[in-house]
Amino acid sequence: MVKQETMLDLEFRSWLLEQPEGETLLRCYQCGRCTSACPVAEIEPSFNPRLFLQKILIGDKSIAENQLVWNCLTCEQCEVRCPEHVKIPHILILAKVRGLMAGNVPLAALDRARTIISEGRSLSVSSPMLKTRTKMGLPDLGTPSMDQIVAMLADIGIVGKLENVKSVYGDAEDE
Amino acid sequence: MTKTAVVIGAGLAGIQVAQQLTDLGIVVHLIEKESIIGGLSTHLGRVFPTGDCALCLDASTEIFDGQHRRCQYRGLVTEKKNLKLHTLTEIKSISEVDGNFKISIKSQPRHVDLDRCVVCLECIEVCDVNTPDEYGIRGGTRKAIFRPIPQGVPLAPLIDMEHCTKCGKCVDICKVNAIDLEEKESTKTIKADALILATGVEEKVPLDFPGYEYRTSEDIITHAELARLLDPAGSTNGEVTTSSGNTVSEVTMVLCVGSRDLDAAEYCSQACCTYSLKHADMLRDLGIDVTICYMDLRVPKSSEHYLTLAREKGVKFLRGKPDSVIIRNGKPMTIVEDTQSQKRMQIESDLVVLASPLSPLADQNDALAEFIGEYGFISRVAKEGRVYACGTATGPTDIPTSIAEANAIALQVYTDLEGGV
Amino acid sequence: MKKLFLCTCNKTLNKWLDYARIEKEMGSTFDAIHIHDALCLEEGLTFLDSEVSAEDSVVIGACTSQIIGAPMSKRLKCEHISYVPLREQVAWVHKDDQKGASSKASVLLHDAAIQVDYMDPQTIVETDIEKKVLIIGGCIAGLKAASDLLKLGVEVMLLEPSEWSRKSYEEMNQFMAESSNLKDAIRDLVLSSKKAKTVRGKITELSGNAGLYQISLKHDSGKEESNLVGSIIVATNAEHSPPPIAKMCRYGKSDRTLLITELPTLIAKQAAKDTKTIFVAVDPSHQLSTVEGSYLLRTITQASEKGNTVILAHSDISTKDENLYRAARKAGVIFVRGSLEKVKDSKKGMVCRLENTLESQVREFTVDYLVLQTQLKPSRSTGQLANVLGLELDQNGFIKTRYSKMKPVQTSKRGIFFAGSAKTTWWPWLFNQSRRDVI
Ligand code: SF4
Ligand code: SF4
Ligand code: SF4
Ligand code: SF4
Ligand code: SF4
Repeated sequence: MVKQETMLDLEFRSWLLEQPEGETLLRCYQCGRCTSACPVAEIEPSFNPRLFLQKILIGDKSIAENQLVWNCLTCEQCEVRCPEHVKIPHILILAKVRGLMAGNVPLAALDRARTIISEGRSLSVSSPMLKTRTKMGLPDLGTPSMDQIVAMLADIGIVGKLENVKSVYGDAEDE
Repeated sequence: MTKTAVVIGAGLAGIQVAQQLTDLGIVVHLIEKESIIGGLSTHLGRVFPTGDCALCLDASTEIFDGQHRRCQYRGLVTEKKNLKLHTLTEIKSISEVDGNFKISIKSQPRHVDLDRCVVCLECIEVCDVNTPDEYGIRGGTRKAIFRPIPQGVPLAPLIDMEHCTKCGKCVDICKVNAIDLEEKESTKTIKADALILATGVEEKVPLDFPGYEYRTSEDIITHAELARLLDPAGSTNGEVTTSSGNTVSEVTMVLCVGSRDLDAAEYCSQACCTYSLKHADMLRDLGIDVTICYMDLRVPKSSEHYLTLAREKGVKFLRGKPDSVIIRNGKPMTIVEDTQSQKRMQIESDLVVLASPLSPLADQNDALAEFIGEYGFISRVAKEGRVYACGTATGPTDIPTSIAEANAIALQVYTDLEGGV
Repeated sequence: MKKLFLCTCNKTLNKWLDYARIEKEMGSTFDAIHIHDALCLEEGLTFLDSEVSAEDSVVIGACTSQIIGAPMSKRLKCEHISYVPLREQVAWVHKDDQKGASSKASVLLHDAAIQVDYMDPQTIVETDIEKKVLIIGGCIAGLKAASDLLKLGVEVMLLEPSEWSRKSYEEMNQFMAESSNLKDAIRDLVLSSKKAKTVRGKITELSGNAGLYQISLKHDSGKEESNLVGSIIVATNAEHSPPPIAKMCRYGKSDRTLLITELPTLIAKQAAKDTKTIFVAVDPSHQLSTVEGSYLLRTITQASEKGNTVILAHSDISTKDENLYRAARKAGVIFVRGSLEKVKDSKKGMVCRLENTLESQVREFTVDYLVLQTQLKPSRSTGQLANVLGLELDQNGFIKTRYSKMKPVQTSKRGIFFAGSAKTTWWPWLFNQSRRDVI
């Protein structure tokens, strides 16, 4: 059992509650139904959405500093079963956003974000892939026009952040 | 002038309020849609807080200081001159004229004359028709002329015309000519000064709660069904078996199924925690292991001893609301997070018992629609000086609170009707 | 003599029950055993007449007290009678099992034999009934009872605790309902019970029987008087007392530790910007009742809505109204499931330490106030009162109910009833049924 001092830093909690639908977090009465419904929790015992919510509720921001939350598939299995209509996957996304801002982000996710900015897709398209498509008679993919979107993202500082940020987990993590 | 009150619903609260008012000199019509009185309690077997049979209170240990040898649920109701019991009767409409109610009722025929029948039960012996017993579980049957439960009041049998072949055997054997196969339904209008709704609750059939496969397996049951299994007078003689007839060694209980849930009943059903504990105690006495999956144990002060007993008897408590109960290898398996060890568990057991919500019956009758409030419950004074409610019609609760409320309402009605000062 | 009469009930009961065996087994319990057919018919009643004298205790094993009770009680001369409904409770329910049925019959008959031994002589109820009720007050249920009885034209004497005022009702009953509702209710009740004769003081002696009790009262002023009343309603209040963890929490030693009942005053006085961190703890040994739970939730919701940071250390949350729990969560109360382990008074605040069982982690919170959930105990006067009135108490010191299922407002003595918190933490509506014995 770990002892933890809590100087009651509610900054993370308050930030999250202010985000759209973030306040659904408060409805949670910790029944644990989400965790028993979650397919990731079934294979990864340390992945526990109910526990994540408990930590956020109590002002503990560790989940935003931990890679674990990135395992959420956003499958919403938990949300449909939650008796109090807590938007669980959405709240976990908010935690990811905070992670992203602080660099708590797995390299694979960073790579994808960067690919989106550079190519307009989450996965880069290789020339063998294009060849296969032509063989199968599929239309040309073309290049998505990202200029406007990138400009917007640059405006709010995301592009710069993405270029500089380093995954705190290094390159060795598995997905 | 003598005042008249109509009490709708002859569950425990209805019986109590009716008796109290009759004792105070008011004429009471007690309307019950079933063939016997007692309401939900006829399904429950042993009831808290004293753990005696709902219907045979004589077995209670409290008789020694209370000296109540007589069962109030049954006695008196059929004996009092000013208390008119109408069974198999429904309210058709309620209208108000000059401060008086006109209540029209419709009674289904019982086919057995209550004033003649001496309850010898010979008729039931000779009837050849066997049909599934509504009160039974695991395949019990009854005759076409039958009594729903042995202790039901009125004690006389009734005939279920859907299954009766009109063979006439029962008519022939009845020495007192109590049976009339041709009796027709009847309607009547009662004038009343006050109306008391004691319509009560029923245990909801948990068909609409996703995750809990009540529909697919006979081994996933409700507490009312478990009570039937545990009832020594029931079709299983008190033996707890699985649907395939095997003995049961492990039972998992899931609390708050569909209660405290924004998708189902938003309220807490108040009584399920306690009857889960009561059933857990009874199962432990039979040597059966019990795990209770709960969120909060809400046990009223008068029933706290059930919790103590359950702990002493080694009932396992697990704090977590299961996501689902599925069938794995022919047995029910409960998937739940033990929130206090943060472990996701898969519990295999022989039976799973769901604490399904208690839902109000009043909103099933359109004639009562104008009195219904939040969630289908009714407030104690539904209409100032005229219409009252008590018992579980005002919200789910335990028996002592129901009775207390019935007493309180009886006095309120009396004060409003007779209190001139 | 203790006598057993077994009815064969139209020669049916002896088909299902082994009467010979029962007779043998009961031989040592009863002084005489008679088996007779149709005891309820004239011939059977005459037989009873001839066999029973006024000093006997009688057990009757027959169909059911419903059918047989009425004709018999008219004919039996003795006072101690117990009916065992053999037909309904044994024969009908154990039809195919003569051995089991007979055993159950023996057990029930044996119980009845013990029961007649324990029967008090029949309660004497005076027929010259005094149409006046004494209400021993303190709880708003007492006011409610007074107001109702007055409406029925019954004279009421309201005995209130020393130094009592309307404000006391509000303070003592604040946990029952939302404070504005409560104030209105009390105002109405005080008004409608105005015609009651109010006395401040205590009761010193009681004699007599239901219907006509003689009571001696001692007024605060020192005056003593004696009165006749028909029945008595005990409506004393429950008191909030500090929980067992109070000492560990430095209650009484530190200004930072309060009881939950003091929190509303604190919040009311609070300046808008002066928000605090408040830790509310429920003693783990205490199972919250629904009334206590609802009060707790209402209070912490208010505290939180005022901008305070409120942490509640709890175990099971009980409430009659699930929406109170929802409101508390919505207001931002931080719920921690666990029990306080250690408390330290420091400069920065009260350091409260506990294990949050929902994450298996020990947490420490430094807070401005530590607020303790109280335990409702019977008011100090209840025990003393029970002594004077000769009433039994339950293990918690509340007045014992006569029969919790059917007679939840009767005490162990006829003609004395209770209302509200004198018994337990029930809602004030739970008043009395005393008029039956009064009118
Ligand atoms: S299912 Fe909903 S209420 Fe239950 S723990 Fe998960 S988020 Fe909270
Ligand atoms: S959305 Fe995420 S947390 Fe919810 S069930 Fe799916 S993987 Fe689990
Ligand atoms: S045979 Fe006649 S008297 Fe006997 S139980 Fe049937 S209806 Fe009643
Ligand atoms: S008439 Fe009907 S109830 Fe009577 S014996 Fe025949 S089938 Fe049974
Ligand atoms: S009484 Fe217990 S099981 Fe029933 S709804 Fe309330 S908390 Fe759930």
